[in-house]
Amino acid sequence: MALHDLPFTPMTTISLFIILFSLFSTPSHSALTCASQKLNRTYANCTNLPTLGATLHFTFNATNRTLSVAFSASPPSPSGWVAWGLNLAGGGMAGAEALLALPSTSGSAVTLRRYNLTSYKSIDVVKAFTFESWDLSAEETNGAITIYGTVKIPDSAENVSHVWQVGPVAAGVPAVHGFKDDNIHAKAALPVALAGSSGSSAASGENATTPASGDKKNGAAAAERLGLGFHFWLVFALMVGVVAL
Amino acid sequence: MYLPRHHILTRLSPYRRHFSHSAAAVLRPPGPEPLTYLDGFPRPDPKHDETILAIPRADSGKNISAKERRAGRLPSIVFEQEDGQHGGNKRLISVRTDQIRKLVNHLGRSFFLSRLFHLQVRAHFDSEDDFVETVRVLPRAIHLKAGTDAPLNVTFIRAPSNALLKVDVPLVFRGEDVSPGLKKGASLNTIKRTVKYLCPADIIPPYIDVDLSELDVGQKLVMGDLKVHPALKLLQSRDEAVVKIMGQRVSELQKKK
Repeated sequence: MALHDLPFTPMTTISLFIILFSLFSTPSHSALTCASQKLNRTYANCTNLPTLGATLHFTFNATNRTLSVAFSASPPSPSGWVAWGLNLAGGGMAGAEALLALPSTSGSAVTLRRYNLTSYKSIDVVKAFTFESWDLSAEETNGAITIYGTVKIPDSAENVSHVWQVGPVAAGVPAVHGFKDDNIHAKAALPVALAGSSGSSAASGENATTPASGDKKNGAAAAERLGLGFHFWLVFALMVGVVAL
Repeated sequence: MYLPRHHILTRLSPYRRHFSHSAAAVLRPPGPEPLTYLDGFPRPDPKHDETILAIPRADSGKNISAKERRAGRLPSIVFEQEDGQHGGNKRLISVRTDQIRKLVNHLGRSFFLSRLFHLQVRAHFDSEDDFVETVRVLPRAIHLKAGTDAPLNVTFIRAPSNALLKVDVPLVFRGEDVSPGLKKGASLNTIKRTVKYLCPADIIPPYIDVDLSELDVGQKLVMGDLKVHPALKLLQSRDEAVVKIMGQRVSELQKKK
């Protein structure tokens, strides 16, 4: 009788330990990071945006100045919205043109809308942006919404910034987002390599050495010369600088 | 003491080369220029530039497809060439049967499969500002019913600018009225009606012009003779014939005697 009871004691202890370990090791909240995310498409670069736990995958083609992006963020509620946009004038959210993704009222798909953020609390649905955009789509995975798109940055835009935001949805239309520090500071300048050649000191230096070459070649050469590490650190430094303001 | 140092410095200086921006720029050539249609080659007719409307479809299967067809919709799928064989990034959609039937009737089946369209996936057909996806696509395959030519299903492949797509490009034969062989009473033997090319997505030809105006009896045109954009890559043998001018049949010759 006693010998029969003895083998069950270590088994019970081990099972209890496994259960406790599972309880403690379960993560209650997991933010989006470049390393943990798996997308259907491939991008050359990825950066964790400084606020709202969002990520931005992007590939920049310097020849024709097209930027392919995949922006991912978690809305504040399962029925909330996420948005990503460009401001060609380099300002903040007022004046930006944004893609906003929100769950469809009927059906299971996530839908996109184009918005022109004319002023604070006043946004207009538009059918096209002032810059070219194509291959736009949105999808929802594990509570996070991802906006895919490709935009063409005009040659005349020399100081471009991008903005992002998350917020709730009320009665099928996007409602006003929160006003914490994370919401207020959800903006950053695009890397210098994406801007015009006059905005880059390396490009202006090249203008001095080779005056006969065209502007497009300078931009392409400046973009090609930047390595991946320098690109990432430049993005990171610019974003930290903007947040510190 | 002074002389040896000067000698060392003089010896070192010829091996030194200063860094220059132009040399660094030459080492990394810029990316390839975007491809455009060349003059003298066929380009898509803007008359048929249409946005194909679609709605997402949750389920697949035989009964679901039958219900979709009864409701006037066509079960469809859009997928990506990149990782397409693993089913990556595919989306089940339904398109309007009327729109696809109209396009196939106006263009023709082979011509429908060799040009790009804009596809817009919406939550439902009448929601104009919302869209689930808007993308440029190439029709990959379409199945028409045998007796009535009613479309049964259609498949699209996404066509970003960096994609290389296999396209069966249809042939259009011109100049048969001035061909010396055909004037002599010979017959035109059409061996191929489409030719398979690997096309960059920006310059998919809607068709290929085949010039018959100089063909005589017994002459033929092979795939290597077709005039296409130099960026296209032929996926079949260059020596395969597409068209031939056949002489008269032996029975007709005997009858004349």
